[in-house]
Amino acid sequence: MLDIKNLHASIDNNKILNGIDLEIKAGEVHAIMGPNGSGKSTLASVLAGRSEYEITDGTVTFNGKDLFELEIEERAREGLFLAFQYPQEIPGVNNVYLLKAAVNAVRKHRGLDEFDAYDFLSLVREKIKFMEMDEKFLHRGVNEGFSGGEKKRNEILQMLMLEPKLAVLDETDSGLDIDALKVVSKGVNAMRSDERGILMVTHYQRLLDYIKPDFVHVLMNGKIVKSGDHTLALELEAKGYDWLLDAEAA
Amino acid sequence: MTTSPNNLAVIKTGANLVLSDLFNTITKPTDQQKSAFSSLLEQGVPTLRTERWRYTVLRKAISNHLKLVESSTGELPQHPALTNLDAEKVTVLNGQLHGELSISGLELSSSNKVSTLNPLKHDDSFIDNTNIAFAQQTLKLSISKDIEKLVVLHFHHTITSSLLANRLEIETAKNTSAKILVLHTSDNDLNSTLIPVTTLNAGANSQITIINIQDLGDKTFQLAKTHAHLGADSVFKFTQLEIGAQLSRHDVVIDVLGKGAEFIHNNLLHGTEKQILDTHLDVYHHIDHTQSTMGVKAVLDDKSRGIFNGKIYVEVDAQQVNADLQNNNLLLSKFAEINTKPELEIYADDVKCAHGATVGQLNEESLFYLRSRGLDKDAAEKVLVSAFSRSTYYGLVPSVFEEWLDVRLGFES
Repeated sequence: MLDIKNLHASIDNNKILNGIDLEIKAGEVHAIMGPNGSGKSTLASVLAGRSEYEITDGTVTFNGKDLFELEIEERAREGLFLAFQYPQEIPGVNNVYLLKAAVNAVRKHRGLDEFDAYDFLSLVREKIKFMEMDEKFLHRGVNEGFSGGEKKRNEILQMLMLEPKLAVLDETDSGLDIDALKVVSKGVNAMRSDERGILMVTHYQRLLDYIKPDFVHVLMNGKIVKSGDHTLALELEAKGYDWLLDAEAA
Repeated sequence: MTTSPNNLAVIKTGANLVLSDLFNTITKPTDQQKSAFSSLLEQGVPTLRTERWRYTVLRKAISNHLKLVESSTGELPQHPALTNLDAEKVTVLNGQLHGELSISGLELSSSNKVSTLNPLKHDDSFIDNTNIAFAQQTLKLSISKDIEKLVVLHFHHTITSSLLANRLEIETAKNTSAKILVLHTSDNDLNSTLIPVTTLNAGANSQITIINIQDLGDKTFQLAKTHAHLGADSVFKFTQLEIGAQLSRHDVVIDVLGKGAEFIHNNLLHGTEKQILDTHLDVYHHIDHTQSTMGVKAVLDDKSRGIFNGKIYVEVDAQQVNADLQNNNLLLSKFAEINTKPELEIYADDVKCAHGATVGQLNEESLFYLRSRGLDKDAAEKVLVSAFSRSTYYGLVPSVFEEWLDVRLGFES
């Protein structure tokens, strides 16, 4: 589904990613952990198509297509979803309007009919209830005045509506209290399926108590220095990251 | 200097000469017209050296291609948003009133006598004097009861290379309310100059809404003025949408005269191509315990230019005034330009006044966010521009006009 090979990226001539290799197959859940500044969020941004990063080497193939040949919106329509670390507030744009425009853009791309108003609303009501959000959020500006936790729930709501093939969650757990973390995890777990890949970028092991990954990778200085199963996360929790640095240096 | 048939001294330079020649073609000017014209000549047509006109060139708007309108034949316009609007409607075609308002408590009449809102002296500008000098008739709209139905006056112009001064004087008796929509349109390719002036004398405790939509043809010039006197406890909601015209200058002057009076203003300057949209807003708080809230937005694309000059003036004894003026501008092209100057002039010491201006482009982060959800670049930009603009008309104009504006401004197809 997603095949990252020798990916190098930089911003303003600072090298952030220094040769990442990672393959995600349908049905798999991967977690990328790492200390601050290791390049975790850069990886998520590069996949979504942020223009400020320069790809200096390597390839990313998504569903057989060269990801870097696709515009931001084409990636989304092909089934790539990024849950933002800091979801943007867009005053004046109705949340429900954005959801509908987004869902219909993806459906159109897949050769499906656009939703009619009734079907769309029934679906959105079901999902918003699942995310334990108030329906009034639908009629507010996108993320406008939402708390941190509400913004993250809203990201997951969008993901549930868009049903992506690959979801990239960029620090979706940061800043959440335990109740919000449970709801967000419930949303992500509901998305787990044999046809879907999930890539979670996180700073904290806590998220992995709720969403159990198949693979855990440690990113340091723009490279994956260690991969393992979910027990690796527990090991990191106990020992921190320094022992990996030492191991790499040695 | 030479003496003209209408017995006025003429300064023989460019635009002044054009206006003099035009004035001389008026068969029998009234004393009011003559006096306004002599004030006009004393002041002279503003140039770029005139402070209030330093960004707006009048050379093309007042040039020797202009003639006065002699006969007012033409076909009555059909406006898509008006067809399905439940309202009392009249049309003013090329300066001539068609239709009547048959509604109790409201009287619309036509007169050749101008009433100005003296004695405050805010009715002696270039636009005032030109309007009075060239106004062929004045429409007087008197409101003596609550009017529940929307009243629409559609000013439409079809005569090329002409100068036309429409004048609408609105008066509301005390304890009345009314909602009036004034729509200005003209044919495309019509290089005429329109000088519409609307005055409002709002009686005590009256509530009046005026929606002024300027959607003139792409070659038309407009020099407009809206001037209101607000009586005690009156509320004046003024929504101004400047969409069309090659050049539109609109002076809005509000004299807040009675205690408890309130002025609420929303304004959108929507410019494309080489349009010039200029609003000068002056709100004078003459008395204590009065309020004003003004939100002016400009969305400028291509090589269009916006000019906004907004001033809140608070007199020395006008304590406990609450006034807020915000101007937000969105530039969509690197050639678009806004000249903005919000001002406060406050002589009282117990007031709350705020003003501010912002100039920006579309937010890159917001664009990225929308595109990452599958909206293409064009659609994402439209979503953001419409979100910015709609606050100036959503909930403020009839819903058929909301829909029409969405299409007219390119937000919906």
